[in-house]
Amino acid sequence: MKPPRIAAAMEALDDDLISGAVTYVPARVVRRNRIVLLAACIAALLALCGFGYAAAHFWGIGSAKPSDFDDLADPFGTLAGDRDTQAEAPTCYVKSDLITDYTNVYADNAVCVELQDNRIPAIYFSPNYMAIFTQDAEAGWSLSKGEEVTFRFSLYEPLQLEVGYVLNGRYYKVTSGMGPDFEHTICAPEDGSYFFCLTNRSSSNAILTDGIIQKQS
Amino acid sequence: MEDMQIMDLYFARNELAIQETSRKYGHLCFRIAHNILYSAEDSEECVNDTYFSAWNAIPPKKPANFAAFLCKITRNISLKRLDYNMAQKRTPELAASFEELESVLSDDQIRETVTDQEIGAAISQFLRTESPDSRNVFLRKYWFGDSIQTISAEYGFSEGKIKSMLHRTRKRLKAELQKRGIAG
Repeated sequence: MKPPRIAAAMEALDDDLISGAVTYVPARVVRRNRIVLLAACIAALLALCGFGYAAAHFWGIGSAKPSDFDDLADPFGTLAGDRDTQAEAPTCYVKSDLITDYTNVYADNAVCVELQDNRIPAIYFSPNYMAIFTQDAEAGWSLSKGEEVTFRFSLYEPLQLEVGYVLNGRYYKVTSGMGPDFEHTICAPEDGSYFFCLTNRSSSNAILTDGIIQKQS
Repeated sequence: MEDMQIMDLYFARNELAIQETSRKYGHLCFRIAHNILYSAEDSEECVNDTYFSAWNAIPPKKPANFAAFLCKITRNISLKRLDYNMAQKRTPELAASFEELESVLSDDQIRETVTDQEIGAAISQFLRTESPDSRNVFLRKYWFGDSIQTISAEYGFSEGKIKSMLHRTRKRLKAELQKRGIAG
């Protein structure tokens, strides 16, 4: 049985029609492929974000927040109150109503960290940020002249920190040093309410794993 | 490799030409042959015969459209092989395609004076007036011998839509061939 003549005659179809049919992709398939490609790109992007998040979360890459600090819920503490004080302090940028005299202050910003039972929680703070530690309700440590307070903390990795205190609205630098473990005893020069401070003097985020501010009996 | 470079290899009588042809068009030729013969072994032989024919034809021929040139050789050889193999080996798909084409224009309807070339030219002209989707679905079905399922999968249309498109195209082709006086 031979093929019909019309089938045989199709042998004489123009070449460009034949090659066109070989390479032809319908517009709807092109559209479908584009959608699939777009979906794949979005999925890849989401996967990348997920990976980035996982990397940051589990390995601390791209973030100062380490994985093992489960209690690191509020890394910068609570912003300490009155922002208008900046206007009264033209030579510094610290925003804290705990400080009224900025003469000794060289920091970009201040954060207030309230301690429970004098224990410093796991926190991290940016370069040139000052962490001001308080007791309940932003209260300081009431010390009499000559009383001693030991300031002890551990860092996730060693870096330059400055230790100081705020007394009567004025900041005083005590010392500075590198971690990872730091301990310093401060002797109160006069009676008053003391707020102890740490200022990050390095170029990377300071990560405190724990610490304590202990009044010596 | 570009077609022109493959052609240069043929002209240089370099046997790499066959290798490159096979690499670029082997799958396409095999598919055409297999759609007609429905036998991997026969199809493979037809594809090899295609390379042999191309080797003999180029030079002196220098086809402007190398892909179409190879497809036509493969189809031609496969149809001859089909004749040789007798009708019982014909695939139901191909038999159906032939029947559908015959419904457009059966052999006894064609005027005696009309040549295959003229019919081919008329079909070519007709197909150029069709939409790209209809034209290529028609060619994939009746020239390349692809099944409805294959076309449906590759073109993203339902099988029903493909059948409907083919039916309408055949109907329009029949009217066109009658208008051109090819049908008696």
